[in-house]
Amino acid sequence: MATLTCDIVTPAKKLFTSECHMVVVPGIEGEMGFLVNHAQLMSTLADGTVRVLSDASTVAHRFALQGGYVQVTGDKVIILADRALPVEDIDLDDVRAKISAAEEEISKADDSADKNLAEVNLAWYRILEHAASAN
Amino acid sequence: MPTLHDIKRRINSVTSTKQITRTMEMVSAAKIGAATARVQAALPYAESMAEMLGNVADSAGGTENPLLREHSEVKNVLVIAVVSDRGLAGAFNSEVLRNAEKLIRSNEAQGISSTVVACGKKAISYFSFRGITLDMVFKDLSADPTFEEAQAIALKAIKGYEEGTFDQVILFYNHAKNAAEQVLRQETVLPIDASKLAKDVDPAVTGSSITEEKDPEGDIPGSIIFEPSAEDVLDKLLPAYVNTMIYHALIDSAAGEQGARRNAMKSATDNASDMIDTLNRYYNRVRQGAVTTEINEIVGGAAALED
Repeated sequence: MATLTCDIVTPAKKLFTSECHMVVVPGIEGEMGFLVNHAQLMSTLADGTVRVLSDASTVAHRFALQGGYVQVTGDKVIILADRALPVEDIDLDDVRAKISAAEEEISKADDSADKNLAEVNLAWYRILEHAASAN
Repeated sequence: MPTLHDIKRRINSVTSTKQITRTMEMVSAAKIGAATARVQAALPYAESMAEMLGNVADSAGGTENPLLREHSEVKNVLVIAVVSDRGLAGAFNSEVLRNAEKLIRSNEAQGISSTVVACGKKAISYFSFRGITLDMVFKDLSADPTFEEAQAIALKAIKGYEEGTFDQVILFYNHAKNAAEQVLRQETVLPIDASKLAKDVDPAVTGSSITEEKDPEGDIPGSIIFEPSAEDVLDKLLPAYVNTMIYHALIDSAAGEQGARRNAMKSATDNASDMIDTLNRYYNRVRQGAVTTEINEIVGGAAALED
């Protein structure tokens, strides 16, 4: 059976590459699933979870991601994300601690640049929390 | 004439300097690997981003994105200088700083004002010494730049450009051509050159591509589905592209810094070795001279007694 190649790339490194059956991404207008020979598509992604299916019913990998784009060309799915993390690597307690730390930072920050950064971080931790607790 | 003791002291001092420079050389040599690996690791993202942007730019056609629009009159330029936090890296820092300053001065002569963003302590001290005010500074990050740092710079550039505060954004940094050679790069970040996008996007992006093996029909513009629309995707991608460009400059410069430092420290070590050789020779000659003088005195004394 022809398979699909899925790449997940962040600015720091190529996080993941694998052959798979189907990839489900959180598109900006709703979830989208790609099988092999999908029409060429390019979309911005909402923050959320990507599911990589090794066959029709098995979710092999899940990734939480923030600020992503997806490009589909025939047998290849490339997901670019500002940040991405495998869901199984998320430490829920750690993330919750970071959420409260980030909230505190936002309330204290007076510099707008610091505040922006802290808010982006907070959003990222929320995504992680959501992804991990849905697991 | 210096005494034997003086020369010995100089030899000792040069020897310990040599020890330091050699250690720094080895430290930099060890860091080059990691820094280069980081640049390599960032390549797939930059390439995919460039390719995506190329595709979208083709399809979106004459988009009115403010980041692509050239401002008719250039009144204020944002200059981003990326250098190191530390010296002892040869001409690494001064090259970037001198060229950035030259641009700022020549713009000044034409009545164009400049806003300067400095990355690296060396840039901060250089510009403040010359009376150029800095708008935004980043320090203690040059060896280990973060994507967040790049985002903060990009955010400022994009916001300023959209609001019309800046009419051009120019980036100066050292590109690590290979472990031994660094090349100064001057890039115009904004406005983004739309004609360049369609083809090869970023000169910094070369090498193998993860997107190379794509279907031949993948190149036909207009056959791609965009969600929500080509314009929306483009609006999202352009700021991210600016981020990527700046991040790439930061890590490239970090890799270049290690290379430049290794070279500088290597020649410093070589020079110290030469100097030690010369001093040793001089030391021996002076010692020999002293011995000869002493013998002469003894012989002279003995001859005087015989008479």
